[in-house]
Amino acid sequence: MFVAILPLGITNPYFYHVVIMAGIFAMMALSLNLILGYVGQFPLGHQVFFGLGAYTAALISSHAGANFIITMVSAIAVCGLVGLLIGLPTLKMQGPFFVIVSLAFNEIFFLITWNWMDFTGGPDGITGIPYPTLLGFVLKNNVGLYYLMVILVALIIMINIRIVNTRTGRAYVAIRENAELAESLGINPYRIKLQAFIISAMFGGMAGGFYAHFERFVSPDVFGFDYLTMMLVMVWVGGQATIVGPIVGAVIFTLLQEYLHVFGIWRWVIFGIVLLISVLFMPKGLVGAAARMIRNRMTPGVARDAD
Amino acid sequence: MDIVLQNIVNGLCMGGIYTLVALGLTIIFGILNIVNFSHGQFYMLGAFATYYVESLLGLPYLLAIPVAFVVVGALGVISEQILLRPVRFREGHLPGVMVTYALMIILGYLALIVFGPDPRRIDSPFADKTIELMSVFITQQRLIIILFSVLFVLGFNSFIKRSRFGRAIRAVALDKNTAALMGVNVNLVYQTTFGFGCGIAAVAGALLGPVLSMDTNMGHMAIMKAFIVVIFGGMGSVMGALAGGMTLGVVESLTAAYVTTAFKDVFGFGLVIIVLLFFPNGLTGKRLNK
Repeated sequence: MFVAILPLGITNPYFYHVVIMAGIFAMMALSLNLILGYVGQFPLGHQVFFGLGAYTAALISSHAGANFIITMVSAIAVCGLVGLLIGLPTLKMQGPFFVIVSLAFNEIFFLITWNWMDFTGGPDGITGIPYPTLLGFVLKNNVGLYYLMVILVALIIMINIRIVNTRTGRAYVAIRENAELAESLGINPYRIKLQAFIISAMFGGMAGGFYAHFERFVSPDVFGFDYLTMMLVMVWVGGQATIVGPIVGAVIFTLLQEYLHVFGIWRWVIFGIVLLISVLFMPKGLVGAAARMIRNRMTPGVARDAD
Repeated sequence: MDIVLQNIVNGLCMGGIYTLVALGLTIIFGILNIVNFSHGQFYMLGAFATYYVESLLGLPYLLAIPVAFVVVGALGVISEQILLRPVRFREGHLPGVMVTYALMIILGYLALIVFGPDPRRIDSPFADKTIELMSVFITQQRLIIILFSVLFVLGFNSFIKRSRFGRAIRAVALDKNTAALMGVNVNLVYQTTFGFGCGIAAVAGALLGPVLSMDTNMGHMAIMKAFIVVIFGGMGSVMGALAGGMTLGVVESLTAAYVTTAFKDVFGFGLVIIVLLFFPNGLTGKRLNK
């Protein structure tokens, strides 16, 4: 309700830019959260899906003039396919191979966008990406883009809830906690991990596709570690393996990003330290810490939960 | 034919650097079971430490390298004790990866702030002297890199195999709890390994500094290359790092000369993915503890 009426009466374009970016960050965080938080696999090149989604949308809409639905569907499909390519050989293996190969894919796409001047514009990127067109309308005003963002975030949250609260979601957690035990219960860890990774890749593609139409500019920077750092800060600080956590993380990160802007590149050092502190001292993030506090308040005396 | 040989020799030089960076990465993985994503930054810090020791303290190049080894190695030991020790007994490799990733970001941006973005070059008395070997021209610096990396890895391998501390290291790699029960100081092995691995990456940076120009971003490419090497050679394999490093160096050099310059790095990453499809444990398939 609050979200629906929020834009009424506000015309400040800076406000819209910040809020819409927060929405894009939330999509990215929910994407990483699905594979990192629930399944416990860490793709170190997860920004590849954001970048790939952005480039797919940018290329298709500026070269072929396709409308928003088509560019988004292609961005999502391309990311799903690349997710399959990364996951297929590596999710079967123990150890850090998955981490490294996803990074290798990210590097490949970075180098392609950087070096293939004619097709991707090289280091200059692609400018003048059209505004999203939907049902014949061109959404070029902030309110329209805002509602589009709300719809996309709501879609991702709905799919997330549908997955997490069913057998599939419980299988994710079972694999994270103990893969052998999960297997003995008839869960196929490889197939479930692959499925989760592909869905998470598609979310990333969606965030990237929308970002390209919103910013109307992409450059090879989208494959940089900065985007992964952002996602990790949001997921870890907010609270992994929850749906509220990454959204809270995205809101906090957006505010931090705006307030810390005066610090220039020092803010990346601060984000790194924030990430370090939350990994070392707050493994379940703010949402986890809050949940524990509420639980402890409600259970008096000795029966306190010490997780 | 001469040009092919020349390209191979140039490739061996880069291969030597990849080998030294990958050596630290592979032993840290083999013993601490941590993928050290900050490894490239220690390599970068090694190059900068050498540069500043040389230009500010006025020490000669050959003395500046050991100083860089000690300084960066000590930084590695401190990072291990403060940041990695708390997550040592947590489940899985995820916490270790997260900590080293955060360290990579912090060190990278701090270096950019402190040292600035300008490229530099380390002064070395060997950088300009060229020797001719069987119709191939090579600077002394490049020859030193090749010889040092090969001899160092061979020496380290026999140290691990023969010495008492090497035996302790292998015992910890195999089973840290049993090793601790047998009286091995596991914490000492952990911090020495991490510090040594970072120190040797620093030496690699110091050796390459006079050949190519260096900037604070150089760690990124180094760590990517070291990952490729470690996957080729097998995670945790010392001799695999040498074989993988030299192979990658030569393959890259020949690809750049005869196929494509812009996409030579893509080629390496593509090769990794193909190798992993068919040899899930790397080409040698051997581990440190076996």
